[in-house]
Amino acid sequence: MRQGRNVGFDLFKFKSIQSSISVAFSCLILFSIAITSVISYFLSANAVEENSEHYIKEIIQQVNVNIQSYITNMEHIGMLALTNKDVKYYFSDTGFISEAARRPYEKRISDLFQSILISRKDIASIMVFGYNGRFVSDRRITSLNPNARIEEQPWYKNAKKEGGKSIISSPHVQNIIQNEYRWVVSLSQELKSLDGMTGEGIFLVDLNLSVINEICSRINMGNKGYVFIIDKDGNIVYHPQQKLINSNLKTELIDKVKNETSGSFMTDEGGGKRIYTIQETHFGWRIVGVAHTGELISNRYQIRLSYILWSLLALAIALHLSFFISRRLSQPIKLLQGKMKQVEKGDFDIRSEIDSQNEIGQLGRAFNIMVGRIKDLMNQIIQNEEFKRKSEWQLLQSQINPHFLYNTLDSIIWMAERKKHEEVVLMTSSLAKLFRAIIYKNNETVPVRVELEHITNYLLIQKMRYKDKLDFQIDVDPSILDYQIPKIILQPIVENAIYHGIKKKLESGTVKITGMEQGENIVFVVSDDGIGMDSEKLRQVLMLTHTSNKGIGVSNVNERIKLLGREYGLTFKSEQWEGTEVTIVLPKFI
Amino acid sequence: MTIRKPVLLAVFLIIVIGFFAVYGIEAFRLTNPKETRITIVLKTNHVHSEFWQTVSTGVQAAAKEFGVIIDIKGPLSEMDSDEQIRMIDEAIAQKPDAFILAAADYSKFAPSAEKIRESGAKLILIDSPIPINWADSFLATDHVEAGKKAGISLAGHGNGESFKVVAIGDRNGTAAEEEREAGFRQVLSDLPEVEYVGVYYFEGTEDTAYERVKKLLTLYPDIQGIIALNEKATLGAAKAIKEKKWAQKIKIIGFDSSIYVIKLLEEGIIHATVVQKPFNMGYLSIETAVKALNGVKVNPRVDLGSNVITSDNMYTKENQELLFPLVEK
Repeated sequence: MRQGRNVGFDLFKFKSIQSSISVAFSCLILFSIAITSVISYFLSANAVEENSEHYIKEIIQQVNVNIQSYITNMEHIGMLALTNKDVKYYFSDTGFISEAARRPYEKRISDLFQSILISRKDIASIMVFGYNGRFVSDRRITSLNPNARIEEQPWYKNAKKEGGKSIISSPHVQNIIQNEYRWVVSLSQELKSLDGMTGEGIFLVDLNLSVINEICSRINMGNKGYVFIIDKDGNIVYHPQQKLINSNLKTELIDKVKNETSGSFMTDEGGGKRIYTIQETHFGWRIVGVAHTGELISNRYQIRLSYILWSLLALAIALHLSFFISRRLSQPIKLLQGKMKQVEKGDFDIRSEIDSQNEIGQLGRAFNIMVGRIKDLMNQIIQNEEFKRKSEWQLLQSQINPHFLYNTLDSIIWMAERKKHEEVVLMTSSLAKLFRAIIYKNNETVPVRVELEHITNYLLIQKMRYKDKLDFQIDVDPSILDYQIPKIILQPIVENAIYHGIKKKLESGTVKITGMEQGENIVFVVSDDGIGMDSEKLRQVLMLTHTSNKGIGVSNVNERIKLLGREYGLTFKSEQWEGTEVTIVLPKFI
Repeated sequence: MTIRKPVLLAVFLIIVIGFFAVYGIEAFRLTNPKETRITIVLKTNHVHSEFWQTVSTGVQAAAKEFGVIIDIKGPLSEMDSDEQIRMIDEAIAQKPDAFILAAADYSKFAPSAEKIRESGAKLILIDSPIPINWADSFLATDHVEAGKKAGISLAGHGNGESFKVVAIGDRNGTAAEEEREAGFRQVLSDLPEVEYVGVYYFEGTEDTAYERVKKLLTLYPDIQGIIALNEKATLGAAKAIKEKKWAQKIKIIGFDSSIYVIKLLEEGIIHATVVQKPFNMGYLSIETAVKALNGVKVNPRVDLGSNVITSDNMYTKENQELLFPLVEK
């Protein structure tokens, strides 16, 4: 459980910026694409649906107009017949027509009806049934079905009841003519007397269903949608599935439509969400358009498909873009990281090649500067170390400088031969002290005291060798005796003073060493009154590093002191024939 | 780099595959909707057979509604079972999804049915059964029930006095006629006042039926009810009664209808006729086949029902449709 949570949590802990950025981007993109696609899908679906609803309404209105004009047309035909003088007279109660005169009347009326019938293919028959028992139809000879109870037929009863208003029946089988059973819609109207008060008969026009069927069936309301018509009693006038409904295989929401005023309503009774759009005609029919909402957007699948496809495409592009961008962002960092690793391994020649101007570019430049600096420092350290090793080696060499030893030993021998015992003792003991001072521990630094002891013994030996030609003075502030200074810094300078200054002088010369505190520094001054040096010579002395096997060069001393700090070191002041003064500035170390 | 190239590639691949999968499926569905083809073999496809033409109308109405492709076949004669078998063989080659069969013969169709089963098509039987028990559904009028209705219509008129009833049927009549007879006999046997004389057979034409009834009327002048087991019998009986002007005395209950039967009903010569619902038969056969093809469990035996038509109810909405089905509306 706990482990599982940890694993799940780990999924969101990314080890690289790129993954964090790309995952964040992807989530964001996924989310926004999903939201926008869904919203725009619904918006467009709604728009299409609204359009279709509007469209359906217009269709139904059009159907309504067509049917009304058709029926009005028929009513006009009825008027034509009804206002005919012959018809009026023939069927009036008052008009007396003898049995013999009836035939011409019938013929004329029949001819009139026939001429109407010829002009209209959709009229099945035109008949008038007088209350006075007279009957005329569009045919010359009509045998009525003796078993058809005309008075009981709805078109007859209703027309009589309505008294002058035209009545339209629902489709039915008309059986009044013998041997004829036709599906018709009956338009009937009561014939009025001249005064317009009393009824004199029923006028009947039977219409083939073809015209209404054609008007309705031509309407395209999608695959499942359809138009149907009911009369005011709820009888179906037209329905594409009339047969199924009459056979009780299907039902229609007739009651609901009957009770509804013009307008529309939604239902999902009996399978499928549908919109019923109702229009009422002036003669009581209701024209109803039924559209399946699923089909209103006939291309809903296409819309959805294209939305899915486009979103997927956008997603693919966006995800790639997010990977690309996150890569672009994190690549330099990664590069820098790689370089850093190499630096870690010790390669200081690495340079980041980021040349952008942004923060990462600045980081790269800072990195370059830093690495350059480290490299310089490292080189310096390496040089210093190398120099140290070398100077140590030289130091070691100088400590047992064989020439100096030979010369000194030669002098001792020479003095011993001359039986100058005291001098021999003095020189030997000085030599011994000198070596002791040299071997004083194996440290790089020694107390000033030890250095002074060393230089004193050295000068003693030299003084004995050069007899009266060399003199020396050492004047050091006792307060600095305990400070630490690098080993053997005075000897090379003193040596230099003797060999290049005093030795070449005819008279005797003096080497003077003073030491004092000067602020934070210790300053030694080694001066001689020898022949001095011209600038050429001075340069030579300073250049004289480790070439000489006589000892450590003056420059070596200088460099060793410089290791302690740039501000420390040797300063030469020399005057030809006057002498040389070397100032040694050293830090105070305890 | 924790998101490695393969992961990126996989994500991209999945998206691309998804893209094409959705596109492919939708495109396939849009352009290639599954077409259902159903072959219907009727007893006859003759334009003058009102009953079978009405079945055909029902089939067409359903085919339009359910969006199936239909092929309606049928021999010219209702008795031509060999031609029907040939038509089935021919249709099997085109591998329809379902067969609707109105077999003209009870026993001959077993091999054809087996072939249909082997082809994997559904089989819906209509009107007449064949001796197999695996057909997906059998839709027919329950003739026993129809016979009972005829019996009730005849007896319901009785005023308690005893009356004599005969039935006339085709000597080579169909199983349907036997079932009708059985049905009304069942009803009449429960009524003590009715004396059922029995079935008298004629030779298949209206004229022979007329002769037979005329003879019967002299033989049993006290007959008060005639059950005519088919349309020919109905017309023959009506002709005899009309001739004797015994319409008031003798009630005729017929089966099936035609324009002649309708006229006789209007005239009052025929008291009632029991009609089947051929339109429903055609419509429901397709509906059942579509359901069966969609894996919906279908009723193995559907009774299509029958209506008793009298002069009083012949112009109701439903009965108008039954009596005048083929007039183009």
